[in-house]
Amino acid sequence: MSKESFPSNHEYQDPEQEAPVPHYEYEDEDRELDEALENIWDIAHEFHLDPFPTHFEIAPPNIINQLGSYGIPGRFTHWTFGRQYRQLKTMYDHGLSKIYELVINSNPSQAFLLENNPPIENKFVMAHVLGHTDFFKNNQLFAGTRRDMPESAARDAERIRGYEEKEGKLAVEQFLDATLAIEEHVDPYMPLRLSKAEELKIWRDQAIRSQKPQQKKPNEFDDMFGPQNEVTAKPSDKIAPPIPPSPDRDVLGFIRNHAPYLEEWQRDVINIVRGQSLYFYPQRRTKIMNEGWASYWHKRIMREMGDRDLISDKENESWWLVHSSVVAPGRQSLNPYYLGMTIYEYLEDYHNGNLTDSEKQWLEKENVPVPPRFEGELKDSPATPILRDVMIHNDDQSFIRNYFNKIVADRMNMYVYEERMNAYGDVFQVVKSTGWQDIREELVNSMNNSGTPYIVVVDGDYNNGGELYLRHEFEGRSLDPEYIRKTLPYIHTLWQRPLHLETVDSESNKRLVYAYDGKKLSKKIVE
Amino acid sequence: METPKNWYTSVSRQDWSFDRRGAQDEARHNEKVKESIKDNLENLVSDGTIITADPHSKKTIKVPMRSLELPRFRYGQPQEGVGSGDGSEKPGDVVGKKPQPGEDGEAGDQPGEEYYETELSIEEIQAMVFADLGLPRIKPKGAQEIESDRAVFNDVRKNRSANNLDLARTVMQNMMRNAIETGKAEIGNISPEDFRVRTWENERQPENSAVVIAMADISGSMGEFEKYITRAFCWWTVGFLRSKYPNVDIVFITHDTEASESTEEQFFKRGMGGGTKCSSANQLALDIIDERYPPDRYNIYPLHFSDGDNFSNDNEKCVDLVQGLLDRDVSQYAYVQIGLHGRSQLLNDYESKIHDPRFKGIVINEKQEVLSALKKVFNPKEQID
Repeated sequence: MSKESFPSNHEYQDPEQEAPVPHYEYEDEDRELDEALENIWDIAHEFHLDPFPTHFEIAPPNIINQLGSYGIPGRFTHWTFGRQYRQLKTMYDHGLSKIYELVINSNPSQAFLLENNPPIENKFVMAHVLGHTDFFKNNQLFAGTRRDMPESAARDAERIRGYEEKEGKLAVEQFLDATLAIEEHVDPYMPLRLSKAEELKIWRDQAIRSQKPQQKKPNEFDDMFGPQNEVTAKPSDKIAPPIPPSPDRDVLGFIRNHAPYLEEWQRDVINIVRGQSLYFYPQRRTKIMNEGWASYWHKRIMREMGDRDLISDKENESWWLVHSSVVAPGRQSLNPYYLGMTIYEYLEDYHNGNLTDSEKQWLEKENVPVPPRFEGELKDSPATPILRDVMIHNDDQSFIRNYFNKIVADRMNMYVYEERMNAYGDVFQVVKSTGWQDIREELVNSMNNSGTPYIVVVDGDYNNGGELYLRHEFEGRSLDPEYIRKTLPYIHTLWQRPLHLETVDSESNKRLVYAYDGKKLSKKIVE
Repeated sequence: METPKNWYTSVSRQDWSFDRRGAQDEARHNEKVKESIKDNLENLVSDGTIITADPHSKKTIKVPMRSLELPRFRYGQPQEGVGSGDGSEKPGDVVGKKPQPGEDGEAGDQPGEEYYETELSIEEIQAMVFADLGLPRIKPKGAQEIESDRAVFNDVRKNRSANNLDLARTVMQNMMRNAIETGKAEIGNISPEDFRVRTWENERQPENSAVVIAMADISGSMGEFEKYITRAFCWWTVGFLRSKYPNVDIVFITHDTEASESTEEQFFKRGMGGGTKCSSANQLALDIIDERYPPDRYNIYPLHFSDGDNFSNDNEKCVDLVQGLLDRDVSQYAYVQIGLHGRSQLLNDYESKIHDPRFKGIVINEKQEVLSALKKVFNPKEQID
């Protein structure tokens, strides 16, 4: 039907030149997918989705696994991606899991389809992907991300290859190891960082400006000299501001600027890793929202495809099967697709007045007004613009905090479990509570700083000896000491001067300071 | 003209067969895993499947290895989590069991919990173990210079079989010829006259004649563990000597209250009952040295394994005999005491009465200590200046 209103590419060709196109293996399948994509795109638009232009590339499994392990096409090489690749490949080979969809946040967006998926699964994936590219384009957290990341990452990779040739593969690998070990420690609110000289100048100016005017102590002879003496002392410009002036969350950026012995190529490598970490940061913070949004919409778009007879009954059956495996509940860990989709569906039902009687009763008991039932199509419903608003303005933590409630918890049969060890050392997961507030609290707490410990640079010239003093901003959970011991040497590779890390032991509630001087790790309790 | 509709979305395919980054980085990861096996050697050294293998077999063994990860600051293991079930769950219900590391091959959801098996050949493991071992205090002894079968490529010739073509030199030669003939130093028109071929000589090196005298207690008190450790230690010793010192003699002695010389095969298989007199083995070692291995021609390394459960009136005799061996100018005398019973009187007597750096008393209480014991007994850094 859309064929008529939008002629396909073939019809633009000069009829005289319409020579028979040579057949190739996948011709029929590609045409089928092309047609389906047009329909999917149209339906997505009717539902008010607003995705980036999205190009789908059909690729073999090893390439999909490879892209999945690197995260960005063309990214630099490193053995940690190789480890990831191996893992994905093994899972795929053993039929344990496969990557269905892979989509890159860029404009235009690039998405990848698995070549040996049956066409209906790829149609399903297309619908899902448009949910993602809509999310990338519109969620406010993504507003500052680099939409040219694939090109930029490829240029970065090229430079790193150059460094490998010049400095040796091993030297570059070891430096990347050190940098990647702290890649999460960037400040998403300060993506652009000035150079060292600019930064120091600003810090110094600020320090001069914020000096208190120096008041002279009143003196009993003051009045003898008259008013001319009352000139306040000029603020001194011989002031050394602390570096950094306030705790700095951008550990990588701080090290790039202020580590004493780094070479130019090393600063560039830090910069590359820092830029890519910032690029991934919004994705880490919107896993539930993003996957939920894509799942919510693939379900509705595919349902519409079925209703309009654009896919066969058999195809209809098979995408529902894939759908139910994508949103399958997890007994020991939450499935973000399932949780996200359930919250959006609850919001839709709430705003369109489609809740069950017992759900309504609960809301009424909580003094929450229940909107009237909406009779009509989803695309015209009051829920649709509200859901878009929710999608645009939240991250996972606020999404849960604002919209998770008893109805969602009950729909998903959720519980909080705790781990208990028996006499033989086996660890079991035991249900602790099924109360929705407990579940919400557990979820919200686990999302602090998207699950990564919050580390700041407190002093870059500690002991007046250029030592680095880091602090873990304690939020109730202590760091794994084994990993402190293993990570500090990597930071030392970057800083090359003694290091300190302050943290809190949650059991004793005491402050601990770890120190590492390049050879020895020590730990002391401070008051 | 109207913009084609699918300007903003399309499907395409391309040829990916040249993109091998994933495989290359995977290879690098696997290489690093193998390197990290060195940190795990102490477990491998006492692994049962290795020490029952023929040291020359091409057999490979599977070693469970943790995949490598970059460390990062992370929280201690979560004590709590959220899941969803079928609605029947009540507080107190068990909803799952945490897999123990290595319990099944599946990847855990925690980073670093992935285990998989790496295949290593016996040879590869041996190379890692042997890297740090050598005969201590070895002196040039014995008159003969032995031709080893090691060929050393140390010369380049023209007009030889092109099997060992030295490419760099051949190209250099070709460029030089072109420079002479055409005035341009470029590669091209390579002809047989450019060929430069590497050739070899059999290396001659002075051989330090040596003999290791391995003595094992096979009395009734030697339990499964003691026998196992003796076996493991000797398996590595024999393998290491054969690979690094092909001309070293190994003499095997087994004893309870009486000692006898045995073949290698008997040494590894024999088990007996009865009491223990360690002096019998030391006496036999002394006799064998006097008979066959004059100390001025051989570096001699007696090596005695026992659980230390010796007849107490025999200890003094042992001390005298070991002193006698040291007086014969042996390079080292090592006494390896195996067992879970703590230090024996025999070891105490040895250590209180023998004051000679060439005497080594070593205790092995656990399987994992075999490697460090091997390194102590065969420490190549202990040499005479």
